[in-house]
Amino acid sequence: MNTKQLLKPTMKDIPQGRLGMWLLIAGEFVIFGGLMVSYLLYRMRYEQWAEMASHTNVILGAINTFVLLTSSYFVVKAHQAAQRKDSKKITMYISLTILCALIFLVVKITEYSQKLHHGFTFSGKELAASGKAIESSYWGFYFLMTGLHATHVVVGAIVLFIVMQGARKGKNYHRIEIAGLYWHMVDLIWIFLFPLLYIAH
Amino acid sequence: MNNDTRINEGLAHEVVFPAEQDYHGHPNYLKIYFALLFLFGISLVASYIDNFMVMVSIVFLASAMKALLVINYFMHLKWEPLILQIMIYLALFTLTALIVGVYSDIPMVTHDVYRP
Amino acid sequence: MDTHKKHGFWHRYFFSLDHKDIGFQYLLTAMFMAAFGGFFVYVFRYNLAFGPNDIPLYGDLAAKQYNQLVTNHGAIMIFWVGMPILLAVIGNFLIPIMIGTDDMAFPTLNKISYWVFLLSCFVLLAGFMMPTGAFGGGWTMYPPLSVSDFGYNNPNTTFWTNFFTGNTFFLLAVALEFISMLMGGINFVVTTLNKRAKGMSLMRLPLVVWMVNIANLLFMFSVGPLIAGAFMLLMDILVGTGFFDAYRGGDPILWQHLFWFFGHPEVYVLLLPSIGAVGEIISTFSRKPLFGYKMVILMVIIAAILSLVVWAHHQFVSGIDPGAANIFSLLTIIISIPFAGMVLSYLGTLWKGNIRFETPMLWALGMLATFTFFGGFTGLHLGSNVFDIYAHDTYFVIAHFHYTLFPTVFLGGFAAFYYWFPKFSGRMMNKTLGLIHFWGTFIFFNSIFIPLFWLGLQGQHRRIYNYSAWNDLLMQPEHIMARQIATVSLIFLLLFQFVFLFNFFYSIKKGKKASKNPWEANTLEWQTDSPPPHGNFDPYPVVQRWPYDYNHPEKELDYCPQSEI
Repeated sequence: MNTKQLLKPTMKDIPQGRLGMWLLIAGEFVIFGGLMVSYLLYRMRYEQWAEMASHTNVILGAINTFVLLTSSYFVVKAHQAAQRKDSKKITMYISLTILCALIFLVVKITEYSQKLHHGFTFSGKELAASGKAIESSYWGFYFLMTGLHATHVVVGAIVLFIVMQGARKGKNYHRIEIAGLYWHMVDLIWIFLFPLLYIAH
Repeated sequence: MNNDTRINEGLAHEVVFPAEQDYHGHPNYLKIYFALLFLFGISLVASYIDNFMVMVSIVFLASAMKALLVINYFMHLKWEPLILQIMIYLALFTLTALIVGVYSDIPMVTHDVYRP
Repeated sequence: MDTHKKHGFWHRYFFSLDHKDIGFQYLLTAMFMAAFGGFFVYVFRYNLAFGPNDIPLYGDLAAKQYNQLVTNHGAIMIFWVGMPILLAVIGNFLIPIMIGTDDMAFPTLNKISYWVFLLSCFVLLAGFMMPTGAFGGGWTMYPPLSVSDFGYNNPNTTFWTNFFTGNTFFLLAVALEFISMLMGGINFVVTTLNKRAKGMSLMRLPLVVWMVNIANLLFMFSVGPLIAGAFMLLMDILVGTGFFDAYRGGDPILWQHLFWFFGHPEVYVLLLPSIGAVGEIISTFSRKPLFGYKMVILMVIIAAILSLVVWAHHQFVSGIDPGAANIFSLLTIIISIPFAGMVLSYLGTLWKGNIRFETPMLWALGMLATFTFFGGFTGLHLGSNVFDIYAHDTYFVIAHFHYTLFPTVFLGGFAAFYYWFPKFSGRMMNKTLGLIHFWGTFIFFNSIFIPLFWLGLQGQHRRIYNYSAWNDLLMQPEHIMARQIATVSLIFLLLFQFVFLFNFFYSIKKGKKASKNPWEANTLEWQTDSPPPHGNFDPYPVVQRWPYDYNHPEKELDYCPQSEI
């Protein structure tokens, strides 16, 4: 039995759900990557955007980064517990992950309300009307990228919750890993979004 | 490749590793987590450097290393078959191709538009 | 295994989880959409040849509607006919039975991906019922034209008035179609990698399975930036952001780059399954092994990777950097090399083979000939950025891409259809009707597009309602005659498709019963019943050899199926 662990795995050995999730992740990488590339290209063109980037709240962004990195740690510990079929630990770790997700969303909403308060809207029409046409597009990217990311956070949290419920009833432990992979992807996207949007010159 | 010793009879296809028994190892997740936090700290500190190119390089490199740590250790890509690793890195290649191909048209060009 | 109770209409055509049923659902839907695409081209080509008044079966055609028909014809043929037939139908139907397994890895996901596809069809057609009419800005959706009436530039619009427009619905339909194909792609790749039968190593996979999987991976990697761009365009239309608005600091060229970054690999996504099916057919009907199987796969992988770096050849005259244009031109011409390698391999398969001119073989040979000699060669012309300055946006381009896309989707698609029809329906198609269909389609397809090459070189631009503004240049008798020849050929082409429809529906009910292996082929699907039962195989095969073991003069049969001991 243990000799199986020593053999090098081939493509036939990956459990199907996990392989499917990896392909989905690769696809999502390219989608968000496309958005990030577009943002990057404009950012390199317009110095005016650097001024807009300084209006993003680095502290809140840093809190969110810390929260997501920690949630990644929790979800991988949940996966480790799932291999041992330890329902209690699974519940604890996934609950912590979902808690991190909620903190993230709260911080995000705080940020959004701050921006809207300052007149930085998604469409940017008001800013453009006041003479800052180029700068106004920055916020289109900001809200689109963080908004899509936040949507994925919500979906990921819901999926983790459903999977946790399954594990508590003692079945489908392998789904923890697959849901965890999705969550790591969400974290990965933020790892790139944070320096792109928050760390200004 | 001789797979005879690893075949489940009676099924349409060979099942080598059922889902619960897995072939990937478990690194010390706590160590990886602290490495991630360390890199995060570096990128925060680096943001105060005045030289734009140096700052961008450090921050980007830190992010890339964080990403590699998460992908390889938290997502266990390191233990997956080579073809899957290649496929994931190919996704990065496509994004690089996109930046390189579009670079001369967007960042390098500023169109003068009349803005009253 | 299923309890084999008789399934009702709704189960078979809507709820079934079985991959064969889902493939059939995609086929019927694609044929339904092809009827729209074909009708649209009939109307606007009739206008180009005989004027916009009193078009039979339509009425009068205004310029705005002309644009809508042109736009939707292109989009429908690529996204709602080509993609489903070549990826979804071929992949769904063939992959499980060719690798010797019972069904896809994720049958429920398969069912959902069909539903999303069906929804995308309705969303696209619903665009025609919007107050502003269907979208008419070209299937490439370039801003600022695709955004001009909405969003930032028009303060009288609201989110909801912007939502219920042809533009939004067109974008949403394309997005839904992408999601459907992405889900399907994940399914196909996981199935091929994980569910192969005993003994089926990757190097023993039939060529068409390789092709469908490479096509799906190529699709998955290239569509991402376009989905990102589509979100951005959608926000420009609905909300008034400035992603592609020059006044706001955006850049329409970025959309072009994002679109064509996907758009070019997309044509290879369409090509690969078709040319894979053609390879199967050529090998079977030459009674010879596929020449250079490993080389073909290597060439295709190289071509797929190269296809990711050639996209800006669609933008040579858009104002891109000329240095970049040179590089893209060079890479585009280089990409012809792996494809030439593939074609040579097929020719090597045919060489000195014992060729059987069955109907699928005719379609396959027709596809290979027209795709290579007219499509491929003119691709070299257009790949040169210098020539493209002259030929861009003329009918030369239209003729080029129809000489690549029509063989890919229709000639290759019909080849695959005629070849595997006995397997999925259990009956043979009528041979005479098949021959009539082939020759009618082949002859009239060529007579549509050859005049268009000439017209393009004369300077006739595409997407133009009428040429009355260019009397000396394009309204001479010879030009009018050329347009009319093309249109009359098109009408005949469309009429010959009714022969196919009759043959299809008649043979499904009353065709001669097919044996397990009417073409005497080697691949696994021919070792099971026609049509395959639920679960496909009983018992599951064990694969002994590669799929192209033909040509055994010392044996009684000149072929050796993959699973035969």
